[in-house]
Amino acid sequence: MEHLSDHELLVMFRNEDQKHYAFNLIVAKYQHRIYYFVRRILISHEDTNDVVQNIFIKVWNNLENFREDSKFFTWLYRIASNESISFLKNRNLRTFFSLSSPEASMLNTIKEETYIDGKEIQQRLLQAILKLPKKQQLIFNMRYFDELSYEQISEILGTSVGALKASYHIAVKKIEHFVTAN
Amino acid sequence: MKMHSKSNNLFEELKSPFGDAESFESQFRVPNQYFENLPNQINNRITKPVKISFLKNRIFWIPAVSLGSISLILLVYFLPGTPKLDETISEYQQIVSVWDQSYAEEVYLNESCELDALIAQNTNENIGLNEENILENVSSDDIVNYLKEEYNQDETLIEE
Repeated sequence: MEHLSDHELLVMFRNEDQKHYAFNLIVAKYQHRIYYFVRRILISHEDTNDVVQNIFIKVWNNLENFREDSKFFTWLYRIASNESISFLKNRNLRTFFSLSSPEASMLNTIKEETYIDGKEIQQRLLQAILKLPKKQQLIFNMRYFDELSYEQISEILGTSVGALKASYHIAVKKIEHFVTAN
Repeated sequence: MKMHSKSNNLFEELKSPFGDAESFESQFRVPNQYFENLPNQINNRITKPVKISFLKNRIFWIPAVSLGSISLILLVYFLPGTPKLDETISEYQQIVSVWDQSYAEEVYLNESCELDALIAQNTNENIGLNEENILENVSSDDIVNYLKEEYNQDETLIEE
């Protein structure tokens, strides 16, 4: 049923009898994209799992009020961005008195995490992305991995297209510098 | 999902050594059957709305209202401090006692004696009800300041 458009799924969702079924189809359609979008930011599978579940629960709770002024896909990415960033903020608060910074612990996770098994060059790219400021990470990930247009990213993040292009350009420069320097 | 392929020199330079997005994502290992189980995990966390249709059914609300009323009556009756019928003076007895001349006289005499005794003891004592004394040491500036404070109390505090 993945061929159903977002609009068709939303129409199904608004029908009380098909609500759960439509929601399951939405989860099935987007779970991979959302999971990897979050995982690239949070690195740890456990954290990603929590956040992904929260994202879809938020979708369930708010989808009835979604008026399709923007695309569903854009709305979903906005929720995912907010949830990921607020998770990181909360974690930063929790680890305020910790000896190691959250970034350092994420970099360690890349090396130690049981579920990470990549080429060295890919791990370096991941490390370089983690060095970027949070919003720049989102922009880079959406553009580079999720192939979103600047217009779509602009709609998700509420930033002008020009600013996004500049941010992406700087992110690429930083990553290039990090990878070549290491 | 394929890696973005717009013509961007920097991007092209980056793209080649890192492989495509699927290859990049494959480094994040995921537990077996994770994506198969995720919809169920989410469904288990979704709070199902409470159905209230049963409230419209007479079988539910008539006993509920009756039980509530009885509980309220019992609560009021047995509440500590609530006068019980056998302990209260009946309305008739109250009327009789008011009109009992000897009782009324006794109360009157008793109260007047107490007042006389108080007056005798405290004739020179300033009990603070004399308005002249209250404002004796208050300047006009004090009054202005007081009024300003009173006025400012109604202002909303700025939330920072």
